[in-house]
Amino acid sequence: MIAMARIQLDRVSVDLPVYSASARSLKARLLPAGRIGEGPRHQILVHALRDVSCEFQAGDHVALIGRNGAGKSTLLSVLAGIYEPAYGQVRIEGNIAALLDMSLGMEEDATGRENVILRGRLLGMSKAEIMARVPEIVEFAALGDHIDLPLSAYSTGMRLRLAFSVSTCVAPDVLLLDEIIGVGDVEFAKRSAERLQQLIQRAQILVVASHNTHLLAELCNKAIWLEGGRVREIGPAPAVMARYQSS
Amino acid sequence: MSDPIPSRSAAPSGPALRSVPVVQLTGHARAWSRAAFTAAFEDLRDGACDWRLSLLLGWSELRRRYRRSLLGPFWITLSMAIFILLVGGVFSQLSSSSMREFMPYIATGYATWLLLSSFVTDGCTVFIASLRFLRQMRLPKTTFVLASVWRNLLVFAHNLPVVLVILALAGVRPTPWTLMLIPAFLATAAAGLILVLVLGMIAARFRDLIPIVTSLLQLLFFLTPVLYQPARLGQAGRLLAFNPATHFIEIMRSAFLGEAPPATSWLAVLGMLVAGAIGGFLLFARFRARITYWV
Repeated sequence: MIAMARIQLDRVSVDLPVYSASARSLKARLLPAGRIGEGPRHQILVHALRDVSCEFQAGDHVALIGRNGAGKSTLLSVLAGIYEPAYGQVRIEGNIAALLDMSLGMEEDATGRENVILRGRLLGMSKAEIMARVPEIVEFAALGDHIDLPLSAYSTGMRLRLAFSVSTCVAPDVLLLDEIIGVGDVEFAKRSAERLQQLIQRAQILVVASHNTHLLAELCNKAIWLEGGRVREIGPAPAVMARYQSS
Repeated sequence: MSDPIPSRSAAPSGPALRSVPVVQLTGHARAWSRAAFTAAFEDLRDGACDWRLSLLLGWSELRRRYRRSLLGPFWITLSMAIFILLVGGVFSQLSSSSMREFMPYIATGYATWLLLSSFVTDGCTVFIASLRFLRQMRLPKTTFVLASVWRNLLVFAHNLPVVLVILALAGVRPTPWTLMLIPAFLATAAAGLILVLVLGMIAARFRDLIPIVTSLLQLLFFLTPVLYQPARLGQAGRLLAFNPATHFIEIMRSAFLGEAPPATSWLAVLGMLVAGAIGGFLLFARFRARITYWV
C-alpha cells in the first residue's frame, strides 16, 4: 500500500514585509526619529495571502487561478515550504517538488555536470542516486559535449534544458507548477511536454498556477480562485473557471 | 517505452509501507510558540543529518571563488606565508625577541585570527548569499550555516602547513599539551557555528551590520594579542581579557606550542560557548521562519 499524499491549509496568511533602504538600516532605528520623519515602527506589509483554507487529497488536480498579484505564486511558495505563513497552519504529506523558477540556483562557473550533481543533491537525492541518473539527465537535456563546459558557455535555451532535465528527473507525490512553459526549441519543447505529462500522471496531487485556461481545463478537476490574497471561490474546476472567466 | 522517471514513492527496494515525509508549518507571527521551538530544533537536526550536503555546498563555494586561478586556494597559503614572514620579521625586531621565539607565536596566533575573522565576515553573508536556494526550495537553514563553517575550516586547513613548517623550523616539539589542539579546535569550530548563525540572521535583517562588522574587525585585530605579547603591555594587557578573540587565540596557540593553556581562557571560552549556544538557539527559534522573508 502506498501512503496517500495530502495538503491541508488552515486559515493561512502570509505578509511580505517591504524593507526600504532606510528601514533596513540600523541607522533608521538609532537616529532620533525627528530627523528621519516617521520611524519604521509602522512597517509596510503586503498582505499576500489572507485566511486561505483548503484541503486536497490524492487525485486532486488543482488549478490556481486569479489575476496578476492575486497571490498565486505566493501560495505555491507556501505549499513548497519556502515561505512559512505568518498565521495559520500548513500540513503537507508526501514528497513535494516545485517547478517554480528553475533557472535559480545554477552556478555560472561550474560545469553542467557539476550543476547537475549539486542540484540533484539539493533536491534531496543521495549522491549515489544522482550519480546513477547523470547520464540519463545529460541525454535528456541533449547537451552532448557541452555538459563538461562551464555554464557561462551555454545559451539561454541550453541552461533551461539542463535545469528542466534535473528538476524533473524524479516524480514527486505533490507537484507544484508555476505557469507551464515550453522549454527550448520545438523538438525539446515536445519532449519536455511529454515528460511533464508523465510527472503529472504520477503525482498524487497537482497544483498548477496558470493563465492558460484551456490547458487548466484539460488538466484539472478542482480550482481555487484567488482574489487580492483571499480565496474567492473553491470547487470543481469547470464551475469555478466558468465564473472566473465571466467575471 | 520503459519507465524513464522513477517515482520516489514506488522505490522497488523500499518497504511496502513507507513513511511519508510530512511538512508542518505553523504561523510564525506568534512569538515563542512551542511550534517555533520544535521547528528550530528540527531544522538543526535535519541540517546536521544531511551534513554531506553542507560539505558539498561549502566545497563548491570554495572552488567557485578560486576557479580559473592558477594556484587556487593555495593563494591563501601563500599570502599567509608572506604576511607571517614580513610582519613577523618586523615585529620580532620591535619586540626585541628572537625570530625563533616570535615566529611560532605570530604564525599560530595569526592563523587562528584568520579563522575567527572569516567566521565573522562570512557569517554576515551566509543567508544573503544563499538567496537563490532559500527562495527556491525548502532546505534546513542549518545546512547553509554548516556549509559556511566547513568552507572556512577548509581555508584554515590550507593555512595549517605554513604554521606547521614554522613550528618545525623553530624546533617546537609536541608535548602532551599538544593534544589540547583537539578540544581547542572543536571549541573554535563551535564558536564558528554560533557566530555564523547569529550574525547571518542579524545581517539578513539589518544590512548595515556588514560594514560595521568589517570596520570593527580591523580595530579588533590590533586589540588581539597576535603581533605582540600581552605581558609586554603591562597593566593594560589585562584589558585584552575583555576581547573574546583573545581567549580563542590563547587556547589554540598554547596547544600548537605544546604549552599548558591559561585556565582562565578555557573558562572564558566555555562560558561564551554556553551563553552563545543558548542565545543563538533562542534567536533562531524566534526568527528562523523570517529569514526567507528578510533575504
